[in-house]
Amino acid sequence: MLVPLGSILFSLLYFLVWMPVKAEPGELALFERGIGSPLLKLLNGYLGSFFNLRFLGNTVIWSVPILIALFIRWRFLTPSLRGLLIFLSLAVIIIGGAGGFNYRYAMTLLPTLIGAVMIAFSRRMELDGLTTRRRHFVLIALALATVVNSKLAMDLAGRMALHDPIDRARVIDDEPFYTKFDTGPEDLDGWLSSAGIGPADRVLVNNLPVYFYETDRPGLYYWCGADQYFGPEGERPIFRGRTDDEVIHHLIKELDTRYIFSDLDLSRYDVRFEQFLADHCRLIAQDEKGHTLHALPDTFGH
Amino acid sequence: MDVPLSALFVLLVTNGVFGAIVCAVLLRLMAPTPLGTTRTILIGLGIAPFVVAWMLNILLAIVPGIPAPLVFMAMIGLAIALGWVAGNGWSLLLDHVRSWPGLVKDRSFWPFLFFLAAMVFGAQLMLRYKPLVDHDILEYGTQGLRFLTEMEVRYEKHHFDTATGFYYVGLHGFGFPLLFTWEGLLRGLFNDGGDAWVRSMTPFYATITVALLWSTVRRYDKWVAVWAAGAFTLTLGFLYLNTIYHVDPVRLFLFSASLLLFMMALDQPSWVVLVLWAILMGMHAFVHSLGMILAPFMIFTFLLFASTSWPFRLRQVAAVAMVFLIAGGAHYVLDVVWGTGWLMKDITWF
Repeated sequence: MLVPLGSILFSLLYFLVWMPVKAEPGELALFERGIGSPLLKLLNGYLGSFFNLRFLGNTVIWSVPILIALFIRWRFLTPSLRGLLIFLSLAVIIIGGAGGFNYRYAMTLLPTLIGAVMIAFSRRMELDGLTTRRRHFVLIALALATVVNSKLAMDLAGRMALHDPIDRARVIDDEPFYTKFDTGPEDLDGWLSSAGIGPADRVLVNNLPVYFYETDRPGLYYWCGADQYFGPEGERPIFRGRTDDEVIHHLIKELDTRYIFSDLDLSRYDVRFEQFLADHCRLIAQDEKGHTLHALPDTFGH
Repeated sequence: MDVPLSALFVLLVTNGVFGAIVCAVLLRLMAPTPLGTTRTILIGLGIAPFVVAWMLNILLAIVPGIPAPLVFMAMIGLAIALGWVAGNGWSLLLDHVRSWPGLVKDRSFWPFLFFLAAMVFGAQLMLRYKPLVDHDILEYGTQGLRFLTEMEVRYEKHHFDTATGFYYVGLHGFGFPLLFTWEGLLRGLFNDGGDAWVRSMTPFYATITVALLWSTVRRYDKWVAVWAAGAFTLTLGFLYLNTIYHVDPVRLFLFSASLLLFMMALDQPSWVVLVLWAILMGMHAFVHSLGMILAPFMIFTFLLFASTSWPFRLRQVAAVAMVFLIAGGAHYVLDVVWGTGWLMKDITWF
């Protein structure tokens, strides 16, 4: 029973001690990916395939000692187990090194590692002479420790949202959870028309591909987090190397764009972009899900 | 949000009819191997939509502007050819389906059935209340609809749509966007459109991934399989895997299946096992770059640890690499040579 208890203890440490609930200024992207400190970068990033407890649960942490034990017993392994061990180790390094910033990549090995942990523990207990009933009791406890972990993960998500001025409203409203699935704009085309955007008006779209999926309107695909728009020749910056007045001129005169479609959450990924919207643009529409439509000042400064 | 009949038609044709054909082919070919019927069927169901997408990729790349009726004729031709190749695989498939009612007598099946039922319940809630709103899949969808409008797949430096200003930033194979193209083509027969079928693929692949884990561990112990499925499905990541429309469940399934065949190839490197392993790696690459990145390492590990003689092993590896490229890996070769350059350029991570 030490193993399921160890899982729960590790989860408590992870969620209640190590994981922050509030982003440091300017570090929103790192915070949201859970890699905002050197320790978290190691756990959730490089070793994310084992220790990203927010998403992967706490069973998979036991694959670390199991893999180490298999390496120690290398000469007793069959060729297929040796191959699996080497490949899994390479995959962990590749995924952790290249894709560790994203939990979705860390999940790649999850089914395999959970299967391996369950079989390895069962086999070990069998060799230790535990009865079938006791073996299954331990494995059920291990699976149930995942429930505790998921509860802690949801609790953390709730606490993080409460510290977030934009997510807070969504968390505290009492509507059924499934009504919150639809985070997209309602009737986007109609919303744009009612805000006075003509069918030929080009809109700067801040990382909201729904614009291109749901409408046939012309747009300029942009991501403020990296300050780049995508044109026929690839990426170009808008703000970098330009003053705000030059940005306005560049958008209107060179990019033929007078409107900016974003949402409150995405606009936060670049402080200057967010400030530019506040200082130089006029908010002409905002829906209840936080989508915003701004207009740049016209010739007369309106 | 009601699910339209035309979307159910796409499900029936692609996952039902074509899925059954691919399953029957695999059952015939894999019968002498230790893969087992359940896992063969799961793999067949998993690769069927991407056999369609693979064919669509070739047609739209080689014959730009191809009329939709010709695409349908090619698909029907492919289905008939595969259905004929399946031979006695059909009877193996029917026998297996007939054995399903017997599973209810197995008490260890009930908890697994409970997990499945919970997933189906969650999936129907999501499909009803959640339209396509998630970022990445909207990009796949927009690009897929562009393929549909132009009936062409191009390998070009910039996937830029001059009409709308949309720029496809995705670097992965076209497998997933082409599912949108396929749905658009089939639903176009009914003068309908939408994405309900592609959306349903997220819970579909999440479900068969759990089933693959369950059926694999079940070969060791049927109760351990239940707890393994439980430990996987009770994670928050799995909840997201089920509820965020994305390529991830597809990726996880194809990767897990390829890893399974990799193990089998190391134990018993028969040609059918090697070919299916290579196809699964290729399909994984066809939907996601990670498949392209991991496959060479998997093949190299096979080269090091296979039990056959070195000359024979080298021939096996050459054949595996060839099938892998044909099944999806070639996309990246084309993309590096004529297209975006794939990873051989500065990447902006979203």
